[in-house]
Amino acid sequence: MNGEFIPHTVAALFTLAIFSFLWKDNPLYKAAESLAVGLSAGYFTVILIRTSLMRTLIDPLFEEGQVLVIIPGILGLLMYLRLTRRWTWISRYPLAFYMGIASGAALSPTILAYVVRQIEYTIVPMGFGSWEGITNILIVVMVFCSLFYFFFSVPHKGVFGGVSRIGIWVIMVAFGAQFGFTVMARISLLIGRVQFLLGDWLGLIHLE
Amino acid sequence: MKWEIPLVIVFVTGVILALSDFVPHQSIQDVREFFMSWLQIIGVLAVGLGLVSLTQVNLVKVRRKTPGWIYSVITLFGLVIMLVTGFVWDYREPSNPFQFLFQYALLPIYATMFSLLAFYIASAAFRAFKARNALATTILVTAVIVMLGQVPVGAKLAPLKSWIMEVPNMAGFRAILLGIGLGGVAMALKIVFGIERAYMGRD
Amino acid sequence: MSFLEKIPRLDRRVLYLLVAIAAVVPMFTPLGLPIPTSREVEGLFDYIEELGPGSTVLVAFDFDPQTVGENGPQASGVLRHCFERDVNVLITALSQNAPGMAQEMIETAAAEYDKVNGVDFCYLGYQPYPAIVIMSIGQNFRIPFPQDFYGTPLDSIPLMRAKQNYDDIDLVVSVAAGWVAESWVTYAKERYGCDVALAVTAVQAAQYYTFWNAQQIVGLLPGLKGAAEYQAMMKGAGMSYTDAPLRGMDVQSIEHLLIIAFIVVGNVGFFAERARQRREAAAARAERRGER
Repeated sequence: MNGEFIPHTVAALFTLAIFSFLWKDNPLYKAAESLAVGLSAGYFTVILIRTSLMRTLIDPLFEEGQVLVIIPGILGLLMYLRLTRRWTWISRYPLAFYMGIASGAALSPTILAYVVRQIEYTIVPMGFGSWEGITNILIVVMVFCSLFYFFFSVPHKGVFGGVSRIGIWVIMVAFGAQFGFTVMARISLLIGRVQFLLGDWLGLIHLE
Repeated sequence: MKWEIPLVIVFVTGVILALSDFVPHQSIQDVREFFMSWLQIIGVLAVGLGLVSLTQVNLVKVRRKTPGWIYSVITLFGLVIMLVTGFVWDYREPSNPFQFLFQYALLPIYATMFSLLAFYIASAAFRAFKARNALATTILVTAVIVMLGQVPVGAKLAPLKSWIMEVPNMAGFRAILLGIGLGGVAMALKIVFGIERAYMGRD
Repeated sequence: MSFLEKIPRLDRRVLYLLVAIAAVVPMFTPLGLPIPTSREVEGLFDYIEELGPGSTVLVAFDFDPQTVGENGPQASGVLRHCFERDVNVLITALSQNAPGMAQEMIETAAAEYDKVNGVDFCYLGYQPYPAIVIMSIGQNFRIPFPQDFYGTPLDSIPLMRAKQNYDDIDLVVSVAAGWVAESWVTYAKERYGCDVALAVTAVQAAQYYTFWNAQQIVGLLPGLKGAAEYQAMMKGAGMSYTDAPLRGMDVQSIEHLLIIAFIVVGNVGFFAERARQRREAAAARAERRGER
């Protein structure tokens, strides 16, 4: 028995408590789940106060004498007026500050990342002479048709109907691929827990 | 006061930050840096709202003895014990009660909760993944090829899987991504120009 | 009711039991099948291989314990690869429950490779609002992180003294389980021009092939498969590696076969049920005609 056996047993009991839900909903599962919510909030609060609040507000203000940090400090505290009825409108001030900065800063990088770059790499050399050229034709057609599927300003009839029909087929292939990847993701998480139970806890398998 | 000033703040800060991407002058970059550091502090304080809300909700449940109130007691217990250990012991030490609770209670519970999804997705594949029509069959066949191509046992299908991921899958998601991007930009502009105000709540 | 028609009514717990057996048995009988590598995973591996000693990679722990089964092996692989090649590492943990996991993983890997805190790596820790932090790093590391996780001011850390922003690092690897990965692409790559690679959960990965195609990322590790490929490449290059993700792929193979079998059997039951309903409907119609 190694020194980690007791902590690992604690972790294993919590693991089994959660797995018990597979049989049916039960108090053990609910208790573990509720405990995790509290622990998570507590953990986050400790880290937030000790690494974020202290380092960005308290220490600069009281130890380094940076008086200006009082302004965002007060703005931050004004957010708590959201919890009152009468003064809730004051919380709009810091919220406006936050939303203005976040929206303004997001504008051009979002256009670049999600629009310009995507269009740039859809305008690619096409041709039937090489596999790459054929693939590029497929990419252009598929992106165009998929986009057209979301374009509702003309009725999807006739040629437009055909284009949008190709679009929905492409999107369905994408969703199928996403489903395949989702299965892989969920199984991976189970593998992690099984490796913990059989390896770290019971020592039945040895992983390097 | 209640609406005008916040809308002015949104507009001014939004325009300054948007301009800072195009104007390399040091003064506007300094303002950007200043705003970023302020935002960090506002953000740190604002996050506490969630904690206050969580505590309030659970305390009310306990006080009113609503069904399942005992689980609220457990949540509050978890919160308090983490706070106490977090402030009594050094959060940076690798082994103390604070780290113990994280490593051997919080981590296994959350990791296992998500691993339950493996069972549910298997059950969903059995019950709901039906070849009802041509489009459903397309999803089904693609999913099967991708699932096989991703694992060593289906290595022969790996090239086909890669082609699916890099051509039709990529094309489909590119169209969706373009939509998300254009929608995001439109929303950001609506916020900066004060057209979108839902985030401010009502009077 | 025939056997085929009973299939859709099979108890869910029978399915769960089969999934559990398929997860446990291959752990004891490794198949050891070779793991073919993909271009997107090779992209990240080769990028780090080409970085010289003294280069700097920022590894972002953007995941919580929920997805540690996928993101843990990815983060561990990238960290070890960097240490193996004497590449300096900066670490952030921008997800609210990530700091503890990041600390444990870094300290374990650093001890293994004799790496010194502040000289070979620097753990910057947590700050809320990832998008804001990512943008702020573009101005200066000191805005979101005046001190590292352990409380040392950045200017007192040898590795950080000359580092101001993205211009001073070679690559960001976001190990993520959410939209934070996109924020790194949007801000670090597109706004500040820093190279980015993503190691994400498989659920997200399918949509990020569009970033890969547009050369917005230098590599993409999709889920545990990505981690396993990475470890296989480390093994192939003669580096030390962890075999947990490699062994995991054996289970993954069996589970995928099982789920495909579920889909097939489920569909057989579905068509049998539909045929029965059609027979009954036809019989009812014939009966009504007879009555008339």
